[in-house]
Amino acid sequence: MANSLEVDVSSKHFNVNGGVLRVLDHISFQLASGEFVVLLGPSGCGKTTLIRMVLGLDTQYEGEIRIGHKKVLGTGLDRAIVFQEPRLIPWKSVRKNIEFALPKHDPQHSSHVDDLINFIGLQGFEDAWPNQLSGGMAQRVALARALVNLPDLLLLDEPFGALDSLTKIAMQAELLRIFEREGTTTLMITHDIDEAIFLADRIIVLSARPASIRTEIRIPFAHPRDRTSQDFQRVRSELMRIFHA
Amino acid sequence: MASTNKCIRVPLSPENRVAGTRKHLQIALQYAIVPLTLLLLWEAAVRFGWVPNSLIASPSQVAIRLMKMLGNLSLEKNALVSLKRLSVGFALGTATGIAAGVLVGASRIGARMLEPTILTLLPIPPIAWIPLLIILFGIGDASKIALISLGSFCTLFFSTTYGIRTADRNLVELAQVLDKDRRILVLEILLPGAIPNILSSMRVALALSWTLLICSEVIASSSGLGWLIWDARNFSRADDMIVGMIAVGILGKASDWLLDLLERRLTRWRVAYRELQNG
Repeated sequence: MANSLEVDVSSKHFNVNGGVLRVLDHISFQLASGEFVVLLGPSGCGKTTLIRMVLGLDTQYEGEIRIGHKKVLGTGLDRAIVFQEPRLIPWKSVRKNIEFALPKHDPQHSSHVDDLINFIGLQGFEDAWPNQLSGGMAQRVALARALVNLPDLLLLDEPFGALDSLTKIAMQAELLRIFEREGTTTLMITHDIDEAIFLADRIIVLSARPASIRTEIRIPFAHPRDRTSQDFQRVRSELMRIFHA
Repeated sequence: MASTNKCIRVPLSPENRVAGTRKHLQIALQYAIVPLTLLLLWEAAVRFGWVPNSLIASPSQVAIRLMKMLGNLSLEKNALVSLKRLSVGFALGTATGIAAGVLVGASRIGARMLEPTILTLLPIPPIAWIPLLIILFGIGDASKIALISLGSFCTLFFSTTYGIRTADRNLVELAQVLDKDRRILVLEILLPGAIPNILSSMRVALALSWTLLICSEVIASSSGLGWLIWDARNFSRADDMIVGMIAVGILGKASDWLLDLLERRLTRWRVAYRELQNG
């Protein structure tokens, strides 16, 4: 199967107060089409920088990132992102926020937007303002906005990091449901070990800054995964061991 | 009737209703106490000669005069002249101020071309422009409109530029990720984000516009409410003078109320402190 995403970055650094801050160090991995991969790493290791590079927001680095064999030179609608905060436009309704992602408004998309709103369970809230939504609902809208253009690659930058643990578990199940329907190739970054095991086909473990790939773990067991199962706990202790080594 | 009262709980018991009426009276009193006291003091001051009563009219005299001037349309005519100058000047100044603010706030080239000039002219108080504007536009409507435009322009330019420059950079990044062009970035992200700033400064600009209108009509005019006030002073008609002032006060409040309505309409998406106050 064709690779959806190929990351081949030898180095990325920032100039900070006259000094050089190295953020990424030889990061190289691929995502097969339809794969769900989680980048797991400690806070501040450079995960978000990597996501920004894949988005095309940051092009100053050594190496190459390719989507479907085409080099990333800038932003594009073939990639979509859900940020850590919902980042909804406060003066647009739920529906207008989702429609904002569309290249230009055309009535053909309207039924697709309706379908998405129903699918993520926000019917009845189409005309609500973002500040009337709970954190979980707002993040659902952000997910719908990311999916509305049917992207080749969905990027998730700790999307549930700011939610309480019960909402977080519900949203992880929701994400899985969406992933199973849309089949979008997904790259998620998180520092939550349980979240990574629950969702990923493959976990890429990153080191602290400058981030490099420490190891890669394939999660062989099928969805839906039971957080209390022995398999789950085995992978969990393995990851704990890696982080504390 | 007594039996129905036992079965059905009426929403307001008689005691509650009395308490409700008392509450309403209390609120009405809170609104009325200051203006009523001022009116009474004023009436007393003129009647008992605490102030020179040949130069200052009492509220009752003013009220009678107000009716008369409404009756012979002299108040309406002058008010209309003033309102025309105010609304044309305010609309012109606000529109150009917002446009220049967007240009300077959203475009580096626009900022280089316009900002130094505007920022140099900004500290000159609009009133200092009056002699020049009279030379350029005469003593008719045009010089007043120009002065009010100038004042509104400066106020709106400043707040629009500031509003756009302090836009949420996360939303700008979002527009970037969604491949939006500059036009959409300005119209759907930067400008709406600056709307709360723009609207509050429009109210400041409106108050300034009234000041400038009356100033310019006092200095050189043959019509309008400012002229009416000044003319009455020249002919020692104390009642006319105060009628003119009251007209300015009422129209000023009404115009501010209109802007307040507009502000509430355009910023419904915000949960503001005042909604919490109003419950």
